Amino acid sequence: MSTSNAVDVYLDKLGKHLTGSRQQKKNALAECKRMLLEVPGSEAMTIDQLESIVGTPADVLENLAPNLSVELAHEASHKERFRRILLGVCILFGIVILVLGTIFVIDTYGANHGYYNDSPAMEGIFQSSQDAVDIY
Amino acid sequence: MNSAEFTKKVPLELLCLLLLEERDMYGYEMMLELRNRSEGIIDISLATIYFTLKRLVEMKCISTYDVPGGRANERSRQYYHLEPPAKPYMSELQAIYDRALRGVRLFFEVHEKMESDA
Repeated sequence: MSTSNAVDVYLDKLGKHLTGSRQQKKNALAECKRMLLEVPGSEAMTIDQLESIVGTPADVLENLAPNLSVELAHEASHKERFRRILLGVCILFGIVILVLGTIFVIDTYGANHGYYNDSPAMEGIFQSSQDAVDIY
Repeated sequence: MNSAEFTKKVPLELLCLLLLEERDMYGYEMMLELRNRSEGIIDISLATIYFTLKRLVEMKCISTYDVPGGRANERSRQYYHLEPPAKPYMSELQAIYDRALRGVRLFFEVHEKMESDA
């Protein structure tokens, strides 16, 4: 059984709906905790009593928005930018691997590798054909 | 009308600044003052007041300082203090609100007159 008081329950409820980085969430929750503890006897209240004074976690989120939305949007754009850069690097890396692989194959087996006269067996067939031509 | 909708119609920044013009206060105290002075009509949540104050701090209209709790287990409280940049901002807010209020009152008067004439 949890021994959480109304403040902890409130912060738990709020925390579930917060977005942003771990640090941003931590800061927002610390700020809210400070606000909750300013209410006299808040820790001894029920969650309903606390919500009637402070507002519901939804109210808090609504009020947080004008303050944090800019930061959160900023962070979202950073995340998006990072994702795009990572994707770009992955694609570039893939292209480099492909090019190096192609160069390696060409360098090792020659440009016509796989088409003709590239194995002892094929050489034997070609030699047999040549012998046949010579006989006739 | 829910609390959030009502809050949007109250010039909360101005009311908070007017309270702080009288004396330094902490958030919860301001919430109670707003409620008591308006006979319960302005019943705004602490969260709304708190974030309004935060915005005013960012605007440098008010500053904060901590006062430790008097009793052993009492938490410290963050008090808000009015700063000089608040004065012109208050005048500006007051002018906007007065103008809006005057406009609405005039509208009501004309509306009542037209209804009584009809």
